[in-house]
Amino acid sequence: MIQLALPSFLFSLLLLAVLSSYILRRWERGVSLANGAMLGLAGVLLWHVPIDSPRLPIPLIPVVLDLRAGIWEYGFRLQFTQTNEPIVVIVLLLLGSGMLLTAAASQGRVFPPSMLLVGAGYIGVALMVDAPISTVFLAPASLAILMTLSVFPLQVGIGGEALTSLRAMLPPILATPFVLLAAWNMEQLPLNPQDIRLATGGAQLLGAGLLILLAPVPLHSAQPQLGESSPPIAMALTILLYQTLVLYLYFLATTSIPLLLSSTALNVWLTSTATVTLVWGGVAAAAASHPGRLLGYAMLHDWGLILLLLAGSDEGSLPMVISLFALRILSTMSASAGLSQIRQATGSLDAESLHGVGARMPWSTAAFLLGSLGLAGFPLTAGFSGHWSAIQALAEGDWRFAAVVLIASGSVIFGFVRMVGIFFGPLTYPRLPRERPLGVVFSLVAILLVTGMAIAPQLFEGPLARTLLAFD
Amino acid sequence: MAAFWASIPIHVILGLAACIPVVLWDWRVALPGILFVQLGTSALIGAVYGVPAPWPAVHLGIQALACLIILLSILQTSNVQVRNAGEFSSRLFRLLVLGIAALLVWAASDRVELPLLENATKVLFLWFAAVALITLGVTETALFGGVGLLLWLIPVQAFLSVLFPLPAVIVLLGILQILVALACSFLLLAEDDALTQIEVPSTDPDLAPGVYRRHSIASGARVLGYGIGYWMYTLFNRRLKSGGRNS
Repeated sequence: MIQLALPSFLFSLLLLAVLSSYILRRWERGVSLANGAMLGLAGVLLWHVPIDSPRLPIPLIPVVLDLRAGIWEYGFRLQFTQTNEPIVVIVLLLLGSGMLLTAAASQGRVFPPSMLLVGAGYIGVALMVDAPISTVFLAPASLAILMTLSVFPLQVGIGGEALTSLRAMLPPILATPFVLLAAWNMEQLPLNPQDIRLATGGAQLLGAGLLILLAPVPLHSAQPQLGESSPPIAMALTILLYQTLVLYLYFLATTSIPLLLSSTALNVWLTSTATVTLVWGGVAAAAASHPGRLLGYAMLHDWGLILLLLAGSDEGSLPMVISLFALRILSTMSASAGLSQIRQATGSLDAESLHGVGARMPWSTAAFLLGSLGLAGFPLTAGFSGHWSAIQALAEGDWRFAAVVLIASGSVIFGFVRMVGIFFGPLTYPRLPRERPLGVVFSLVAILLVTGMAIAPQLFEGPLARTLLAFD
Repeated sequence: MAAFWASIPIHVILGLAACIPVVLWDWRVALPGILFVQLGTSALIGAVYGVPAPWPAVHLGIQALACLIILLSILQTSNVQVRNAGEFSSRLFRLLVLGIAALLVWAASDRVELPLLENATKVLFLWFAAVALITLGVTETALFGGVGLLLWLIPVQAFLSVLFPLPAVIVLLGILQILVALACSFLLLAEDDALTQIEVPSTDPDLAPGVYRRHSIASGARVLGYGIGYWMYTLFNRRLKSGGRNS
């Protein structure tokens, strides 16, 4: 029996998925289904098996899995811990669902291997518990590498505005020197414990780096532009994977360096930029006529709200941030599932070719609309409970923030009302193909998940409590 | 040697070399310009700041490789617009922007602390960063986006090598630099593909009009992927075929 540490097993699994999806790319649908199911299953199993359980034999292959064992190479230690468990599971589930959706609506034949490669990198960053420099400080450089790699799945199989993908990789590249300079300041602190400037300077630099990584306005432009110019699933996966890791990094930094919140103006900057972000997301969404761009602005608005809660930084805001982000993942994946089907059928997402699509592709349209409206906190969608709690929490502190969020959300909803008018208007192309069975199945699953979470938000309490425990 | 590289005229020359690509906005100047700036910066951190011997040469080697990767893509582009498009305003206006940036750098340099660096080097690195940000801010093409990013990474890598002469940090930043070049060269080809798209008007009013490509991105990526090996293979194959015909 071969004994494998969990990181080695995960990388072997992902390597297998990358190689199979590249070599067998002519059979994209079957391979994507198999890889998606395998990664989704791995994510679910990791979530259900306790981390301190004894070694696990894997059925059918002579391998015994050691969940707590780590690997140590070149000064980097990768290990599965209680803290990084939710992040690893989220990345696996995102990759799994992305591959399954790709089976129904192709994003380009080279998309699955390139996206899986990027996903393997994100898992590596999440598993990193020790490095030559503290992991908090080295993570932005790793994120910069991963966002640079993300250009390939974003652009593959599609022409268009190449500069948009380039903009997506700017925040981590710009943040890297700030954070590494902060690391130097922190490393000098034990040598000069009396020098308060080192500590505050380090905290300020780290704060500036984190602010750039979180990419509020004016660093937001990639999000809506990717929505317009990239395949929907590629856009959703790239943005969600990046933001998952950035939020994780933010939690790690604020818990390990308390000075970050106490002696810097990070919260003030975050509050002001987050407010502008959510307002701009709402205003721009009202005027957007491209569904991908509209989805991008709705995501931007939602991200602004998450950042605003993050700036609250008290104990009560942490569960709300996590729950809003989880609902964001659900809503975005549902919206991109529907939108990718529509894009596949119409060949383009220009408004003129979308007239009447809703009548011909009802399930995909419903998945897109319900998912997107969830990002604005529309009633009876997944995002409603999270938005409602967030607005209540904000109103307790300052009612003006709650009013701004409500107005901006209303503006996003107005944008989608216009889109409904286009989708359910007179059909422009009567020979538009009907939905494929696999697409209908995935759209139905997305609709069920989104509405299920809207009707019974308590279903999410268990995973939320466990994630909170991990971050404690 | 250290005194030569630490001298003000050398710093001025490097600073001027960094802004020439922005002023002239031509890839034939931009790529050698980046290499020249990298050469000077590597020599500076090696001679003045004592960065261990292999690393300045490694920086230069990586930068040369990055420029070569972008150059390969430039030579691959069939559309001249990709190489020359996206020039922001006139040269005079760009000079004005650079002048304002120079004033800002000069005014801000006293308040910015870059530990372990002498004042002249600090101002030079801030100037490199400012020029890189201006390039990134005004560009509309992947080519000059790549130039801006490579220019941004020169002072970042040099400064961090002085702060952390650790192989892990230098290797990570080197990987980032090569990936930036690969990504930008890939985007350059994608941009070219977008420019050469042909719109096919629908002859049937019931069908949506389509946009088709003259050639796929894969044709450019193939050259990047297989590189010189692919070229040699095709050359060898062609010779074999022509040899077969002659006999």
